[in-house]
Amino acid sequence: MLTVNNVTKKYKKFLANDNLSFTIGDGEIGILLGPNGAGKSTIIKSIAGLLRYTGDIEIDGLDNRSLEAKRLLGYIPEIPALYDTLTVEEHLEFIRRAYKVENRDLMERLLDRFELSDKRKKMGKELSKGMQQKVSICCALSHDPKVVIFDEPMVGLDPHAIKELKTVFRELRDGGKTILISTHMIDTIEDYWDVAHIMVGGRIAATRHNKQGAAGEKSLDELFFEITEGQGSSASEE
Amino acid sequence: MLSATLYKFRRGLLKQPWKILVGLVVLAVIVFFIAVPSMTEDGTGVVRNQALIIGASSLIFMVMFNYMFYSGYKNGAVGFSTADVNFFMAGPFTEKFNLILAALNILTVGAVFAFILAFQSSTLNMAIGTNSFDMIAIIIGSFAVIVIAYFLGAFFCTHFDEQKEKKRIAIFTLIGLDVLFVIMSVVSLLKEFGSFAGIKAQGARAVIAHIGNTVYAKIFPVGGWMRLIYEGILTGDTVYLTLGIILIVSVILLIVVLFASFDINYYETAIANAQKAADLLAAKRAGVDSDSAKLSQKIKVGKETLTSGSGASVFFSRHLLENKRATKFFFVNALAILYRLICAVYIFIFSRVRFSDEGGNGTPILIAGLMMMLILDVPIYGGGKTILEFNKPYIFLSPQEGWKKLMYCLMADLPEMIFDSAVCSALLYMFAGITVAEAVSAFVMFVGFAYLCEIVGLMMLRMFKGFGRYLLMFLRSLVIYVFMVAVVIPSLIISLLAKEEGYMLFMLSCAGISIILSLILLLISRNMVDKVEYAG
Repeated sequence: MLTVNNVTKKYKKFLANDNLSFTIGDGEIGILLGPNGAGKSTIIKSIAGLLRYTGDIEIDGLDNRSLEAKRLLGYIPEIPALYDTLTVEEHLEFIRRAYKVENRDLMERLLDRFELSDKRKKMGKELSKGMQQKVSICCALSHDPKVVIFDEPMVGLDPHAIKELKTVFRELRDGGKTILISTHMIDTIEDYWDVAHIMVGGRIAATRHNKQGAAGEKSLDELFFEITEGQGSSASEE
Repeated sequence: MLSATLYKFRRGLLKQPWKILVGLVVLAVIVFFIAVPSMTEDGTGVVRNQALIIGASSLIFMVMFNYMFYSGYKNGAVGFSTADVNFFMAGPFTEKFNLILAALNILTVGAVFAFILAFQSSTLNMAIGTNSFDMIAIIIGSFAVIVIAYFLGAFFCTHFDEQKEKKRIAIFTLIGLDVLFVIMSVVSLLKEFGSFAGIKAQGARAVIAHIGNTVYAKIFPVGGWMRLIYEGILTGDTVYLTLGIILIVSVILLIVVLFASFDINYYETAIANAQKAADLLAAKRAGVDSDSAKLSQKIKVGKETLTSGSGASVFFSRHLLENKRATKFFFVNALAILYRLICAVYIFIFSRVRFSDEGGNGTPILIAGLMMMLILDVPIYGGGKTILEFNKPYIFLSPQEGWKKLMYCLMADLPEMIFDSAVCSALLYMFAGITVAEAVSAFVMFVGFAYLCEIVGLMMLRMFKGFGRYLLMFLRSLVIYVFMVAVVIPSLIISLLAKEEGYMLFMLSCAGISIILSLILLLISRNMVDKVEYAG
């Protein structure tokens, strides 16, 4: 479970996150939707413990800065952060050793799944943006985290990798993991989400739960455009 | 296009006004360094050796010509950014018109060289007796040679872009000219001094004075012609002055005619260069200096791989692996090797030109060498690998205590610091005439300074992370130099109070003070992994 409680983050005078609170349960996929500059990446980085903020963030009931919480977290950054002179395989090996994961099975499975097996000897600097993103995803998943946060994971991926990643989302959810995905690409999220938070100006402007057969309500993209184009600003809880 | 460029420049200054301050500081430093030789003239009646100054200037101009011609020949049109590629090259402008952009950027390269030359004013003053006027002349002359040489080289690159054979003729012609110049210079030296032993007996300064004043130096393309102008001004020889001006103006007109009349095709190389520049800029934004980024581009995968480390210690193993991959040896830092080679050449020339024929002691060589080595410690260690670790999320994410990860990263830098310090002390032993005991003290001192640089760099990251990378890098260099001064001055006082005849106590004091300072700073910043924000 991921719990964000009254989190505020300021960059000098700019309020990037304004008293944000939300929860994503076990076996749930949460989506952070919003236009550029809405504060999605900031809250994702705060959850990952990369930024300082005020408020509380808990991962499975543990403070996100504790070592136990770090062990449970997988983070996929918006811009892949690979080491230039480390190979694909070495990146995964580095993470495996850093997280003290004993066997290499998951690492090998991920390499196969994201079609990186034949690229295992390529260095980070030799990979395309999409390939780097795949390595980044594999690194985040290679220690079998309980909570996984994705920051704009589809950017740069080819259609096949996007399809594979969506399958991974579903599998992780079915395995009881907590997933949080930040994206501004509303057309890529389809129906695999459980809860969606629409962010504008550092705040959650609306929250929508994905309920089958809820008649007469606006679709997620209708709600999104209504809010982000300024036709409505009040939060609606479904 | 021009107004857009000016707007970009103006807006850059408005958004980052500290750049104006940096510009003013740089200008003040240039003026200071140029003015120093005149301010320190003691009037002791040392005879000014005009032939030596003209000869040395002549060689500087020639080296500049060679270097920049090759640079233009290799790179063609540089200075285009990816934005320029998108807006100007794809826009309704001719290739020739767009080349004006490149011209503006070559002026910047010229200005950088001018700064480097100005920085060497004191050294040149001590080595060959140049005064402020000479320095101004050398800087202006070099600037003109740089621009002309680059455009000549760039013409061959862009005009013969698809005719590799013809393109090569240009570079072989230049190499041929250089070889011919060397041969004719040696013949001329032998004719003048009789034998190689005779040449050696004359010393380096006499050799430079002779070579730089032969007819071959005077007719050498562009560099030699610039020398004619300089000699004409210094000696009042109107024939040399007129001839030099006519030749330089002619070559400028020739460049204009070449670019205006012949087909040039530089977009492909310009786009490739724009990509390279963008990669270097991205590296710089990530805190890597340009030389490191260039070296990193050449690294290839070998047999080595990550086979050790667990938990925090894997950061140590990874750093060693990266070092090994870059240079084949885990204790060798490629950037340090490059910079120490520059140091070695600098100390060698300095020791030969200034003191070999005077029988003085090695103190000035030691001071010059030490200064050069410590100045270069800043780019090598001030932005070292531990600092770069903060540009990736893994040091924050992995589940170990922050201080442990930091210590393992710092430990991984030790082998290359030890090797680099050994190289530095060996250079001082070879060229500055220090004893073995002093060399050992120097070794400890260099290790101390290297760690001080790295830890001050970390502290700066901890304190001024929000200042932006460029300002942070500038502040970092400035503060490291302040710390170095804070180490050197008390050490000097200790050495003077102890009436030391050698340098051992001074060096050991430097080592002790820098290590104590490093430890204090490390203690303060031990929790920085938990305090600093990720910048990615």
